[in-house]
Amino acid sequence: MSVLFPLRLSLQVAVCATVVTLLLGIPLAYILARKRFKGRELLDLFLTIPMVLPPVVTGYFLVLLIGRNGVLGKAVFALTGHELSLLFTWYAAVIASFVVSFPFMIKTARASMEAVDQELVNASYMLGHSETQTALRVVIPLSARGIIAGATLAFARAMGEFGATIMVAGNIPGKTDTMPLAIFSQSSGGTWGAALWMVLVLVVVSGAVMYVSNRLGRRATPA
Amino acid sequence: MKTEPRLDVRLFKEVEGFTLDVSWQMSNELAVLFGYSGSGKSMTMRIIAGLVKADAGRVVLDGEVLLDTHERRCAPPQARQFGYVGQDLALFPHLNVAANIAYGLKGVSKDEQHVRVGKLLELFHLIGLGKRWPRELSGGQQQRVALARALAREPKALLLDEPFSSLDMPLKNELWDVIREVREKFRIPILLVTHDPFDARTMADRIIVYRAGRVVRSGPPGEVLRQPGSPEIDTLLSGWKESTAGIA
Amino acid sequence: MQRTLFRRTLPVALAFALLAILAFALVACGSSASTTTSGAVTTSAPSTTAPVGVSTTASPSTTAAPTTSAVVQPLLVSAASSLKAAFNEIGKAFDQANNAKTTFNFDASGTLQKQIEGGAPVDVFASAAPTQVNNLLKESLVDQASVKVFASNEIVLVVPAGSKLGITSFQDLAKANVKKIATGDPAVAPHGKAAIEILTKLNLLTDVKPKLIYAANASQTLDYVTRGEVDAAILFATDAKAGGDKVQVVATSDPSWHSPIAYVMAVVSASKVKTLGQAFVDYVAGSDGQAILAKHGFLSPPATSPSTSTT
Repeated sequence: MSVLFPLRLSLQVAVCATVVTLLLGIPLAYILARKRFKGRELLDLFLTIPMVLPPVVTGYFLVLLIGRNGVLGKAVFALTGHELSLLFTWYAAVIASFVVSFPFMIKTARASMEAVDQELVNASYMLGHSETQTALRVVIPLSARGIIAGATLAFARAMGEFGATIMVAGNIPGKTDTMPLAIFSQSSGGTWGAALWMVLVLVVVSGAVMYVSNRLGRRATPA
Repeated sequence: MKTEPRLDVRLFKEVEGFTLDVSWQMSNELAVLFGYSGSGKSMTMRIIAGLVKADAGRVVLDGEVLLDTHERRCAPPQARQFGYVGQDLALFPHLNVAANIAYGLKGVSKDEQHVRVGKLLELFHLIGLGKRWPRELSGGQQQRVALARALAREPKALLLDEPFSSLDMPLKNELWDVIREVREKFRIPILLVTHDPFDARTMADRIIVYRAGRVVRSGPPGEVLRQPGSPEIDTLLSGWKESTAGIA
Repeated sequence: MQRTLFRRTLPVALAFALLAILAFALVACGSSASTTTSGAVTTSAPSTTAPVGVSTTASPSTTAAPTTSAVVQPLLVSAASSLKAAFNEIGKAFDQANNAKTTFNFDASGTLQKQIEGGAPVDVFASAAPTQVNNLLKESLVDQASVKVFASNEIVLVVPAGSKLGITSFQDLAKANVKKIATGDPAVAPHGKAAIEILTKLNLLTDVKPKLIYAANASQTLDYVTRGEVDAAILFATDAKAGGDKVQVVATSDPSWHSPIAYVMAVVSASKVKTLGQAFVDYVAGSDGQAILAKHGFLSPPATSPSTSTT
């Protein structure tokens, strides 16, 4: 089994989680930022609470949800006759990483979109563009900085995810041992030196992400 | 000679202690909504544009009913075919001048867009500035880009909300000339909101005087100024007397 | 007016709620349960009887030193997860008889060994294999004289109750429709190590290895199979018994397929209550302890002594 497997797996999981974060996050951030409806803040709370919830708690709920006999597991079985076999796979690691890192993206993206001047949106409407077209041509491009900053933070969080991952994906060498899990295994097993390179990789990645995120945040938001 | 009304407006809206209750018409002319700040002029314009909702009312443009609360008809701003320039111009900072102007041209081929934008750049004295960014332009140039953008779609009428505020005299002069050119070349009704009596007198074919959410006078400047009474008209009047007195 | 009132009271209410939660948490920690969940090494606070020197009504004055049996003595025992149910019962009986308060720390034997090596303040160590005790003996971390073999066990193959995969033997694990099999991490859990030995002996390891899901300890192995997350699990017979009607035993390993299973106890050298620790070891090895172990399905200790076992 390759020593580089945890690195490849971590990158794979974090990239997948971040892609899903972007696909779901941009529309949801838009809805939260620019649409008014009852229960909006409740939705925001629900989407961002994994940010403050201890990751193992998130993991606990995920097991209850996507386990074979979990809420979704039973529903999928009832509807399709197939068993939901997500636990102990790298898909579960992606789900865990996604859930804990999504709030970072949503918070930053929402703030960016809220900051877009309503007059620009109005101008777009007056020039014949529908709300969706305006979202795509004006709001999202002008929030790009915030979206990228959010996605970068989410990526870093996904790379470092441990508590929820170990509960839903287990720590199976060669299958689901992401870098944080592998570091834990190595140090639990007493082989601290073996974990050092992974520690360094994560430190460098985190540092780079923080730097990019700060740079993006420091520049003034476009008018 | 009486001309057919092009824009027929009847609006009622109550918000936070302020009541807007107006009814007026304009034909193919340059009409100015004049009054002190907070008298409901901008609100009227935004309701006409479709950006704000009225409690009750009716707006008809060139025979087309844009708003009729009684019949529950309310066209979205996209469908109202107005050219609109807000107080802060709202040029898209992430698009260059040409892209800004072309923004309203949907369903038009790239080549055709290029041609139309070129014509507008020429018309508004913006030649060579197509690739610049809005923030690189002077105040006057930005004004003209905003106008060009609004007119690119060949709208049925033009709405200008306080275009002269925060402009100094040389720029105001510039803008008066540009608007006159627009009037000549496009020949569409222009509705202009201002609280400055000098601007109102300089531009208007018709002055609609607002006072605390109501219209107190509506008519050509000469007619309006002959009626004494409200402080707004007195302001207009006094200025007029001054300016006419100063003419050699 | 109502709005500002709400705005002012809300933060105050939140502050009170937080304080209440904090207070509750402190109280809960202070009177912690006598058993801890696997993985944590905690020391329990002494139970609420009068400390030395403070006189209370009715109880005789105690001016003697803390080592007398008039004061409840705490004891921390690190034990293999498979011993959980049996030791909880033994602990209660032992505490009654010896005026003690025993706290258990259940986890995989290898994990517990690492904790003791790391200086965890454990008094007694009970492992599911001789290996871990031998390792600690080599490092002089447990007292040679206290080492005691006290039980044995069998390895079984279980499936979740109601499983329709038709698994009736270890060989069936190689079938294509069997996707996930749980057992302990062989690096730290003796039942996992035994599972690997069994599969190797039966020439199944290459086929089955990719399907193995390693659990941290015996309790987690059982959890995976009772929840139905895996198709089968290889674990101790006593754990299968603890799983009740949630699991179904489909095969029992022949003892010759794996190294002999011997549960070994020892008193940790750094313990401050060695006498009590030894008393615990003696209790477990004695008739009362053995009866409780038998009740939970443990077998009597094998004849071989621990020092001759393989590492």
